[in-house]
Amino acid sequence: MFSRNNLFKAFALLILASMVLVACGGGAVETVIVEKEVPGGVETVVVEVEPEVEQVVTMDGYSTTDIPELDPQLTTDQVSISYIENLFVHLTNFDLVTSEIVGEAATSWTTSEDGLTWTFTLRTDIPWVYHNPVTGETTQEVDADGNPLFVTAEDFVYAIKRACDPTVGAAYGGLIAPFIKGCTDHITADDFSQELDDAVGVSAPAPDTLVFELEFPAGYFLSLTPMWVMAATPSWAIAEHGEAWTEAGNIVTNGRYVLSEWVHGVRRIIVRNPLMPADMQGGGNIEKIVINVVPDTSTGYALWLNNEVETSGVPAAELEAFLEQYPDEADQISDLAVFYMGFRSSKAPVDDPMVRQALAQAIDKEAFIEVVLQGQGVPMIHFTPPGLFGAPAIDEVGVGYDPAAAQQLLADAGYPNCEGFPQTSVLGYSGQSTLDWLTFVTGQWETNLGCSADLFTIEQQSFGELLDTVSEEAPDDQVPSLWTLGWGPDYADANNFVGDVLRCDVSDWGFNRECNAIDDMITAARVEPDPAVRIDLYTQIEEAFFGDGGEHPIIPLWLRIAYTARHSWLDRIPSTFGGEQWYTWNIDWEAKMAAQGQ
Amino acid sequence: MIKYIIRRLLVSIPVVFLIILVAFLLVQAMPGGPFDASNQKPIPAVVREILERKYGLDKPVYEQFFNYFVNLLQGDLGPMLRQRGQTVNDVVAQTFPVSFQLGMLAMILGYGIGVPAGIIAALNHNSTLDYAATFAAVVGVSVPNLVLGPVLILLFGVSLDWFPIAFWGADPPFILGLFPTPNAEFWSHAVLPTVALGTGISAGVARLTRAGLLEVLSEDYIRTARAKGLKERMVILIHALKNALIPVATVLGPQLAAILTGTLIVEQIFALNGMGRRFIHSVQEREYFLLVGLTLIYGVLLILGNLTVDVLYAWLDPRIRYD
Repeated sequence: MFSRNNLFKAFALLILASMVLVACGGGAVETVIVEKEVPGGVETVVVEVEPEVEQVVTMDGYSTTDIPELDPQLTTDQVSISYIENLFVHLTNFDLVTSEIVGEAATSWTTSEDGLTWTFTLRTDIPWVYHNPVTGETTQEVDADGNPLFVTAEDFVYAIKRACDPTVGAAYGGLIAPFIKGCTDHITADDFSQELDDAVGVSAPAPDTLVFELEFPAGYFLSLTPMWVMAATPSWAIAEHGEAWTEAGNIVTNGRYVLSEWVHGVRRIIVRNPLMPADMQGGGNIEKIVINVVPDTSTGYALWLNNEVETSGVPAAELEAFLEQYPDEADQISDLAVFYMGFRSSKAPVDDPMVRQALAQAIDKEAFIEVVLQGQGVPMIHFTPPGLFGAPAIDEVGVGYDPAAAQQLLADAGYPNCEGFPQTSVLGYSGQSTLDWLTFVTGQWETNLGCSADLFTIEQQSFGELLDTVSEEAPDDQVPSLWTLGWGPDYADANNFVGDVLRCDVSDWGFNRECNAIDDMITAARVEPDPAVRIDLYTQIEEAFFGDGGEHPIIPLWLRIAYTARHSWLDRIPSTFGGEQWYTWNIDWEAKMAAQGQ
Repeated sequence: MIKYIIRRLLVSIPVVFLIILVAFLLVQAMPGGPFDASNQKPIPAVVREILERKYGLDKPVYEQFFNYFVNLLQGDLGPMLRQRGQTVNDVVAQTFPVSFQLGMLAMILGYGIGVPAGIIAALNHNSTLDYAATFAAVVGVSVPNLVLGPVLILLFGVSLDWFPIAFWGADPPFILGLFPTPNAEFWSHAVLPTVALGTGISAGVARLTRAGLLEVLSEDYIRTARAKGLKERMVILIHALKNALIPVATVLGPQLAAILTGTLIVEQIFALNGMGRRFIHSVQEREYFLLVGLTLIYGVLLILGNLTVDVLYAWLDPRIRYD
């Protein structure tokens, strides 16, 4: 009879053995029946073969976060925007080479003479599709009568009105609302109103005709049309599944890819939509995209070193070694985000534009980029980054580093050699990199202006807290004099920078600027239909802000450029606006397999 | 003992309520909110108001708490504020099993190595074996996961290519909502994170076991047991070890609660979708309901962990009785 101890030992061994057996267990074995010549005839034998692995051109990648949102009207972040770019067609899009706006669902467009009505002609052969994640089959959606469903103008009307719906909470609905007639009235209402919804200035007089009525003749309205917030969404899927309509197995899409798998916090997989019109497929050869969530860039970089992902960010500590070892696989990519320091223009001592200009001109931005950013940036002397409509050339318009001029300005402002300069608070958002930023900048003021670094009290807060702290409602004595901020483009027009950030009636940033002639120019540029006149106006605006003797409401510091590690088998043009157009990318599959030892 | 356990569980009810209340109030007191900004841009004020209204965050705090508590009693931990298609229940169902699986493996490794190592060190007191075990324990306790994790990845993942660099080898749905499918994929992915997490545990347990056993071995009753002619193995395993493990049992409960609810660093480095990582992100994102929910789960596990420790005490030391 076994003792209790022996039984326990036997049981434990059994568990261990079963684990080992399971772990060592092989996969399914494939067999084929072949005929083999043998002396005297032919013999039929069963032969074991390696299972055939289907070669699907797959792009492997990672992102540091999960997709927060796949609903085009609710999306606000860059990770989600890239997925929406590939899962949904937009009204228009950006040409990756020329950065010009080209048609996507829309084939052409016209504007009325007064600039208040925009009419888009749409193609009507883009199918709405459903992908079954279990069977892997992609089928076209049909209506109640069994008729196949294609993207029509009515779908765009639904989507845009949804962005204006006060019960939906579309963050970028707030951005488009001022442009579209009636949208602001609806989005600011306490609840959904059919009357207000009907009054929103977007309509579909025909399945292939989409009409916008604008609140004002926005000369740059076209630059908003590639935005994800205006992408058509399937009303019936949303009605059926509610907020879960974007989950794999529920989602209905119309783009070049379909959602095959989404394990939250772990992985998402998209595969080509075989029902997309051939001329819209994009020219790339990537059939499948697998993106895992890897929050730590060091781990992601290790995956890249191991040839498990095509691209990766490069950790700061590895940058020098990476550039030395892999110079041909280093891409420098800019997302056109400009980082700056904002001033509380109503608070001494920075209420004096001479002080503001002095502080700006005392910073050696080239050295800042070299020392603090390890070369990952370009100095900015004005605000609007290159590539946006109306942006001046990057090295024109605006004052540069000039310590002698800065000292003179400070003296003219009543602080010769910084004597009498009051204690000044500086606020940055949390993180070591921001602390490095502020330490460098205050060090420059000490070196070039004689303002001891002790004069500047540095504090850090989370981004949300910082916005609360600097809000225009807060009294000046509770607000810092300067703070760190950054801004990336939502659409490809200078208004997104000088208008949406610096205009005097924009209260989000706490600058407390007095309205003046510059704001009149900003308003004029918004409604000017002549592109040449608009360009000239924006040049004047930037000069008035950042030129010698200008207002200097902020200190533009640098345009972000980051190094990305990219394996040479991936051929791509990164997108500057909107999401990445994966459907245009190509992978040299043989080279990738060779690198992975397959 | 049963009465004691029931009594402790009943006493825990007001404690759990207090945890929920305090967590809820603290979370609301944090500066900033979930809808202040997104992607480093402020959300327009009008949209912020819409979202706060949608999730009831515009109501007075006592009303918000009441609504939350009523839903909680029905098993609803609340919505995710920044991921609309998901609820807190969804997130817990996805992340807790991963943390649980990793935590259990790490605990098994930690105690499986730590206790025997501590015994060996104590029994060979002041020998080379003792010094080696102690040295290993000090190194294990001193080297943080932040260092050990990347070293393991570079050595065993990149250079030797023995184990996967990242990810967990099991996805939802899990067996019984908690357990992985124990296949090769799972075990190969589990090795590096388990070693990264379990090493520190084993080191601490080894030191505690060694110290506890050394103290017990000098007791009179051990000398008596030896004098009575008992085999040394019986003396150690039956008489000495149980008492020596009391300090180890003391840390087991809180350690279990902490490990099972996730460890941010290991989950971050190995890209594991665990609770620890989500807990920290929920603070950054001001995911109020997720924060309160995870705090509640941690609190409940801690209470259960401490109860387990007390029950263990009674088993380890017959003098301890609760009835």
